[in-house]
Amino acid sequence: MTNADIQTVLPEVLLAAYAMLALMFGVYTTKDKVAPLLVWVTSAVLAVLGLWILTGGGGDVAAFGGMIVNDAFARFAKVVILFSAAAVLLMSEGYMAKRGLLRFEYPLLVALAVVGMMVMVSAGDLMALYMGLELQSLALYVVAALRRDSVKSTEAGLKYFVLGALSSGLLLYGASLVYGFAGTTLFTGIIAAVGEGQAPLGLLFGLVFVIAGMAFKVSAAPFHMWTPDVYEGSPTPVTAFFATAPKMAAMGLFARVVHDAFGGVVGDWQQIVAFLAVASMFLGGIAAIGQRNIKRLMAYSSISHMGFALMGLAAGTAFGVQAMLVYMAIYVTMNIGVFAFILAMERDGAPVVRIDELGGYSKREPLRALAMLVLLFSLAGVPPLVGFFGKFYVLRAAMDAGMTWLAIAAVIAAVINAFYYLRIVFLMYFGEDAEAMDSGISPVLWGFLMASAAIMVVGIINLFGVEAIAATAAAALVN
Amino acid sequence: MTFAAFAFYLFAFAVVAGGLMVVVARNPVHSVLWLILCFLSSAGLFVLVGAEFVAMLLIIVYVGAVAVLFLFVVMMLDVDFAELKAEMANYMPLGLVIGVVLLMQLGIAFGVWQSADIAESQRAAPVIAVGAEDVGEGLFSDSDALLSQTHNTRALGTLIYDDYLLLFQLAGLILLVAMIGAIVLTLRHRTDIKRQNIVAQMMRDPAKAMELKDVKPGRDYDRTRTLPHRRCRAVRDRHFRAVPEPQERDRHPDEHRIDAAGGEHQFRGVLGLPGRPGRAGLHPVRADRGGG
Amino acid sequence: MGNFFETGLGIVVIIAAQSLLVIGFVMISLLFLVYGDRKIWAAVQMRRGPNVVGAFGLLQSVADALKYVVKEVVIPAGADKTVFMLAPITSFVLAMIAWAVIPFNDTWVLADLNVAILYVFAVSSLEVYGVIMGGWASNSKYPFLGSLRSAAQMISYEVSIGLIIIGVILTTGSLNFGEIVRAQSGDYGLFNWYWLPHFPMVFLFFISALAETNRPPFDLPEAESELVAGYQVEYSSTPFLLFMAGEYIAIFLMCALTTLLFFGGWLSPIPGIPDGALWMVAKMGFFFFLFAMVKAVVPRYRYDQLMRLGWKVFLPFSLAWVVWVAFAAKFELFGGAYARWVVGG
Repeated sequence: MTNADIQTVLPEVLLAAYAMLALMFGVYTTKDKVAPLLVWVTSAVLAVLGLWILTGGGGDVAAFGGMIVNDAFARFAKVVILFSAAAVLLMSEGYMAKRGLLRFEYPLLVALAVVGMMVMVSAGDLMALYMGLELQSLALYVVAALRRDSVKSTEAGLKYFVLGALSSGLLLYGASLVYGFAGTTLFTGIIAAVGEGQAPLGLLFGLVFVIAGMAFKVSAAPFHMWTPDVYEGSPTPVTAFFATAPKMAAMGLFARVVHDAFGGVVGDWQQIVAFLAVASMFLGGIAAIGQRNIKRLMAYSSISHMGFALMGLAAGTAFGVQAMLVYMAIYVTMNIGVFAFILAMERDGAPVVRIDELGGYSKREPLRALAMLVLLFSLAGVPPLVGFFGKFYVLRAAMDAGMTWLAIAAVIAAVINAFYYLRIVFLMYFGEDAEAMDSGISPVLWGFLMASAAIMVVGIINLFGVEAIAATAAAALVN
Repeated sequence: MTFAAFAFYLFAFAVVAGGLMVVVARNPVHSVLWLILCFLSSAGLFVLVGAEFVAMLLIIVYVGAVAVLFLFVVMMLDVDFAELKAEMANYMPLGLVIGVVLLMQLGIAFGVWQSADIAESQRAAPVIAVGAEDVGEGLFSDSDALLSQTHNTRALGTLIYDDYLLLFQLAGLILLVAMIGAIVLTLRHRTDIKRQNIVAQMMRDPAKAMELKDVKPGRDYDRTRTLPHRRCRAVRDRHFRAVPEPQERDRHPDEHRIDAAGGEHQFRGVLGLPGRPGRAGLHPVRADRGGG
Repeated sequence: MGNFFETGLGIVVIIAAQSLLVIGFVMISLLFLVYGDRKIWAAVQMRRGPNVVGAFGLLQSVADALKYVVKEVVIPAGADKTVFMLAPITSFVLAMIAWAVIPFNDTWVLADLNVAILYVFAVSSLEVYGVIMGGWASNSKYPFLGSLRSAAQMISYEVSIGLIIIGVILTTGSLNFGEIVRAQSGDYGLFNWYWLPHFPMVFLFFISALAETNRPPFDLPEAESELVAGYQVEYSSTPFLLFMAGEYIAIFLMCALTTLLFFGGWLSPIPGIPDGALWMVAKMGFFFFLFAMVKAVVPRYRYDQLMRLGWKVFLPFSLAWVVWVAFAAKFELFGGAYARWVVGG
């Protein structure tokens, strides 16, 4: 351990130290009364760290004997994670405060979860990976059950916990098989031990278990069962959080493991990932059609989006990883906007989650309806919005890698997926008039909704240069 | 058979048998007790391979703390395990199929198991790393001497606090999150109860806390004036102690309690106490049945 | 014959003989400790205490033990028989086996483990099982409540005991009792012992030891005013004897630990006077006297006070102490009083 090692993980260390200090501050002062302040400060800290990493640059550094890797890929993922977590935290303040859920531990748990995510995406060792994953998951289990007097919320927390523990078990089991094969948990050591070409059967078992464990975390079908219930039961801001930063972290982790540790045996995991991708795209799309609860609908939507992102990964190329990163960045941005809209859906101060209630919304709130329309079109991948480019990239990655069948399946799935997004649009513009919802919206939510929608439109010019950054990031990972 | 081999088979058998009994035992408390046997035997196995530090930690942490909490929970929760098991029977076939398939696959994996060529050297890497410094300083002649002479407490310490410091700290953070989570999800600040402020209580001035009043029998309490300090005595004169008898209380105070117990002297809903063998749940203890 | 003690069988015989010696010592001292405990208690309360059997009642404990052994064992009808009988045995055996690593003099120790102190700590953390199992298997509410209380109490105080021990280990740089005692030797006799650098911890350790062994004022598992006799309610005759013996042996063990960790074990307090096992025994006897005095003098704690003391006072304090010791050892403050492995070699 040297100073250079600490330097590499400085953002994580600072964030963890901040969380602990803030915890002491909260406990020894006025407890929940400082919660709004802590939300703002935490948000600011996350955003500042994000900016720092974004502008800091730096090369490909390995620390702690290779256990932590800080490369362009990790930085890309960290920036997305930090910014989205900061945004969601800001959006949640009003909602949580109104329902008495704003405990001072909430922003700190989010901050600690972010520390876990940052470790996940820069893990260079199976043990570091697991530590990051558990840190993130444990904090998420708690925030899912934050509304502890609600049966649904506690059910969400418990279900998430039990299935999360199961998936961690699978992951660990696979990791132990991989260790048995390679004799080390370091990714550099594993890739050296595995070599090129065909993986032996024992290692393959380990690989399958590890991928199954990670598929749980990204909620890819057939390991998606927890997602709808957890999304529905958790308080909405927490759902928004689930749908953004942890997804990016889990996808980053996925890419990191398959490329850094198993980059030599692309053929072996490619099929598994492709299967996960196809299953998720179709299952998410078809199951979402029957949903009337917008939170459950977003859960299935996220499953199918994970399918598309995994398709980029299935390509097994640097371009595939780049496509995945671009897709995830766009997905996270869209989701922040959509959840800002959902958070503002209230009637007499109580949250509304049924999509039927959106009938005739455009007449009362034309601007917000328009923003939502843009976001939904973008989610569906309607050209020329930014969401289309995300889908376009992953499709091209699959085509380039010679997986035409995957690309065709993805197009079909995209059409299925478009149906339920468009139905919401239809309800808002042409649906039967439902009882009017509260017209007020907090400036924060309004800001995020409009900004997100604006990005979906303006971004078509050059995607804000994300493409190039993602290309560097992908190049750092795949070589 | 050497003593070490004998001990190995003894402990190994105890681990396996204990593990089996954890699953098979009908009474959940017995399951936990078997689990403890399992832990202890595993600690024995650790001692046999020369990892006495890990063995002791296993006992202190798992047996001394974790299993106690297990026992606590199992003893306090009134879970009807018979019912749970009945429900389990529905899922048994599916679970069995999955289990058998997994077992077969693992069998295959085991059958064709091969390690990478460089696995052996990679496995030894952390151990060598521990003492590289000491070998350099001439404390040990070479890495072999190091392996045989380094105390494993020291080796573990060096690894954990040096090479794996980051993971160690992350594990600490995970525990912190678990603690915060437990508090967030369960702690309720009740405002309707009186709390004891220990510090305030200790800082109280005893002279001001108590006031002795001279009360003459048959006189109004309020009219009595405060006594001068020298007459405050802990033991009072005989006539002060002649306090009138209290009013007659309930004539048979114990009668109601017997009724309340309903002839049953157990917490039926709270404590999952052991029943007689053969039946799950709780049975009232009757004196007339005799011991044995 | 000289060769016999080098054969496998011979070694076994030697080990058995040594073990018997230690067991004999502990059992005989047990008889007189119980007697002493009662006498001290009686003296404080201005009673005579046991004075009938033997001269000054010295054989009272022998008579009691005999009575316990010959009485009938009563097992409640609803009890879980196996666990019910296992509990006192566990309690007694665990209290006994901890003595395996306690040195009475330099190298006078059954098993000179590298991790001796951890071993004692592990065994004493297991002692809670005797209480829990006994309370649960009795199938009766007072024992059950007693055992729950006891479990929570013992675990709570184990934490601070562990942290206090860590301070001593940090100073010594070893987990071996021999090393710990040797590190306390020096030119200034008793001022070289650890009680001086670890001054506040001596008290914390002593109080935690009281709680750990369920001694008054922390005898809540058997608080007779609330729980009749706690986890021992349903026990009679030999099982009860085993429980009681286990309890006293554990107390005596704590006396030995206090002596070894903070008061120089077999070292002589005054320079010039030879060290020896007698010092060790005398110090243990002195600490047992303190245990007995505390029992006679201090009123019982309330349960929430006990928990508060453990978690909110002892734990933070001992934790802070570990940090301080680590700091003082690292920078060799006070002439290396906290870093004996550096100074002493």
